Amino acid sequence: MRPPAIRCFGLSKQFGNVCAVEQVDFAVDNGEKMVLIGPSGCGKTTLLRLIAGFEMPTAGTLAVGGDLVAGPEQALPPEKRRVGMVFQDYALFPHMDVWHNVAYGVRDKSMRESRVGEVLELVGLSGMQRRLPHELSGGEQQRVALARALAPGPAVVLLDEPFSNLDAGLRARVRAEVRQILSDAGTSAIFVTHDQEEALFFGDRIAVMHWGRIEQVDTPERIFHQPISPFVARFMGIADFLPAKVQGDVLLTELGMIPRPLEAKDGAKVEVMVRPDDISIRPEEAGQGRVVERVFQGAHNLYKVELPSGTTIHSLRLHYQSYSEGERVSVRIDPGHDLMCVVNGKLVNILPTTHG
Amino acid sequence: MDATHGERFNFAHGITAGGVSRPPPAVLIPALLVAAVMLLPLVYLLIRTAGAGEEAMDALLRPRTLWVFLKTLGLIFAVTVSAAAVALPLAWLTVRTDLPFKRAWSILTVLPLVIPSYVGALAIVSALGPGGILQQWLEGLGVERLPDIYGFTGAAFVLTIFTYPYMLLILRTALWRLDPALEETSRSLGSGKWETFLRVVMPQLRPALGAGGLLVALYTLSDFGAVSLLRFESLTQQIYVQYQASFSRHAAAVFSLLLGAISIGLLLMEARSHSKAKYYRSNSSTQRPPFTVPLNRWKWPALIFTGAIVTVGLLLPIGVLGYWLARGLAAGEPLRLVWSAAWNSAMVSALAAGVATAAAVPVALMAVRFPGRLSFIIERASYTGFALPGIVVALALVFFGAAYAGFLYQTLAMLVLAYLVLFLPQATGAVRSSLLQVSPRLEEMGRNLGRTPVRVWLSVTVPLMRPGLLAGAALVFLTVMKELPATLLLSPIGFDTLATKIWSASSEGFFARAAAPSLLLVLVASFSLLLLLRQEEVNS
Repeated sequence: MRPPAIRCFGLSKQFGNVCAVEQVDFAVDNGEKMVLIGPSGCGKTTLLRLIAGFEMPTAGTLAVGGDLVAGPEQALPPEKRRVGMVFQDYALFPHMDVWHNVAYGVRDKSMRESRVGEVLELVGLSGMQRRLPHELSGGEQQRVALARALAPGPAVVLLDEPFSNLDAGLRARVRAEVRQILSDAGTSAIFVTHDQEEALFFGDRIAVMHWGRIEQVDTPERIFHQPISPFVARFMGIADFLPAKVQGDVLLTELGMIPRPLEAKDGAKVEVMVRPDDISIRPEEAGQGRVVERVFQGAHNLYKVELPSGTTIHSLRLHYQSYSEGERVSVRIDPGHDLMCVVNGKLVNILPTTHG
Repeated sequence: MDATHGERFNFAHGITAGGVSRPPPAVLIPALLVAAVMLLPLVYLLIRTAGAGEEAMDALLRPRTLWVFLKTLGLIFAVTVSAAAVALPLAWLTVRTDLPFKRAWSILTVLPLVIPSYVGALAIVSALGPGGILQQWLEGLGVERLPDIYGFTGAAFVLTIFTYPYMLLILRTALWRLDPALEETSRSLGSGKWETFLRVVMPQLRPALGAGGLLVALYTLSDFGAVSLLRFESLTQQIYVQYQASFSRHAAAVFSLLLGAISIGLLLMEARSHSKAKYYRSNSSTQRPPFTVPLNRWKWPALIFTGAIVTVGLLLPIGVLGYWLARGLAAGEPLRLVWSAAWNSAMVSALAAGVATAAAVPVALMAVRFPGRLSFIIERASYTGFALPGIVVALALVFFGAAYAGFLYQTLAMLVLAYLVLFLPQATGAVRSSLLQVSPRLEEMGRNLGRTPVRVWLSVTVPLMRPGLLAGAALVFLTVMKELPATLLLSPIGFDTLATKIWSASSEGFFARAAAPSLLLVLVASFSLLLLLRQEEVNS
């Protein structure tokens, strides 16, 4: 079996007293597209720069395609790593045309002509060899940067927030194109973003980073529905946490009873995690909730509802279910999947709810 | 051990570009070499003076030394203050007001820069001095005597007229960069025009005034030609006299150190105002251009002021030189000799420009891409030329050549070496700022695509720095063309340049013979300046 494209073990990077990356262990399989996501300052860009070789790790090891490139005693310079890179601002050489940009990294002169033609065809820019970077649109520059990174045949391509310079309309299209190009090339990729929608779309797997550590690595579905910490849950979309009390075999919440998870002992502090699509509301004079905010999102309305205790909770409804602010509503948990709750700071599974 | 050292290095430099790489030998070694060359004159002068012992102390403690020292300080003060008094209004008028023909004025007011101060002094002396043009005309009207233009007043006047453009250029850039929102805020808070100017605009101009004042003060301090022609006893003039008369080379060395001490003092003063500069600098690069202030009834006084400065600084010298040229030609003065001097000037200037620019590249690379203690020392060393007047550097190299490097003494190589020491800071400045505009991402990209640091610099960084390299070379070319004292002291025997031709003709009063080389020099200098101004426009 082939070794993974990237494997890091205990990888750390300290700047002065600040630990930008702390004890990171993870692996990217061949052909896999891994997304690194986290709030700004979480260390995701530093991790990328460590892999590319622009920074030296303080501790830990890093292997690319099975070869050790950074360890406690030595580190290979960036030019010897077989790691491709696409920067946020693309960093196209402004004094070279498309062809020369792409050809820059192809070392073998006899291969150059054919290889450049090959990757330019892959990214759909065959007719543009003689254009200079400033004559290209944002999306085209993006594809040149990608072609240039792919041309030397790297073990993995790193993309540092590559779509943040594109306007919203172009973004969705370019994103799909890039994903397709990477799949066609069969190259592994690590993709950094802080946009959760982008992460869910792009990644075969997603690694969520927080304070220099990786909190969870999982498929997009599991990251969204089975987060292992409140941070991951909140970061990957709106999540509300409903305080609950353990009473016998059930959890008592403001919205009714829920089965008790095994981990929740008597007297433990428990919070039930609910996402807006788990909460249904219906207008009712004597309802326990009151609509305090409505955000129109086109196909949906996102409501913020205040409960008698003062806790607020979000509910996502279809656009025709339109209620005005101040209206009284009855609130119900209606998930259609397993719920989770926080016990002692950890997220644990609960069996399907009984309707209370 | 090796690995720990590498890691320590990276910590110290945080997230700077290419955090991994230590400077490769191909950059480090040339940079160290340049730094060593730059320090050579200063170190040699110190050794030389220390070796002189009592004799040097005698020379230093003579009352005459103190007198010359004080007079030099007085001249620096007078010129700096008057240059500010000329440059500040001109900068304001050409940037912020609706002065008619603003674009033309903004070029014309900078142009006195192309006239070397000794050529300016020559023009003023030959026009207004005893036996000059003005007196010849006035004799017909029965006026026998004119107020004396020699000495302090004349020197201060001439140096002000031909150095204020340095300050003007810096002030204008600063005025362009002012954020108009600050002034609007001040006005909306109830401050009037004048109060806004004094409390909001002036404090923001202070760093520019400091930097411009430093340039003017250093120019005055190191000026040799103009003060000599105007018979003002300054330190530079005394050094030359002492050296020529061979009274005592120790005295010349002591005066040189004194001169160096003043310029270091000036640099330190300016550095203090510099620390505030960051505080005052407006941050945005994509801001609105400053709004225009209508002059109304001040239009005519403003035009007269601007016109007068341009007349004295540009029209008068050119006119006078033209007059002498015409007279000389009428009297059968040959032009032939000028061409070989012009060729020599151009050749040695181009040589110096090439050498200085090439030397600036490793220094700038170290400073920008590998900041750290070593780079700091190298960069500081490269500034020696900025602090040491030309005559001091030349003298040190003369001593050094005579004592240790006879094979270099009175060769072109020695002359170019002196120019390198003197003008490297100009080249470094231009190269450095163009390097700052090359994103380190591009270099990282080059490494990432499999090229070694040196090959990345050759294929990516240097091509992108080309405008800066050209600007730096043009600046050095322009300055070397005008340089006088080092050229006088270090030129090989029989090697005449435009500058030495002008000097020998005008110090003997042959104004007509000095006119042709002077005009040629001004013409060439104008081309370099235009090139430079265009570069500035492209950059901004």
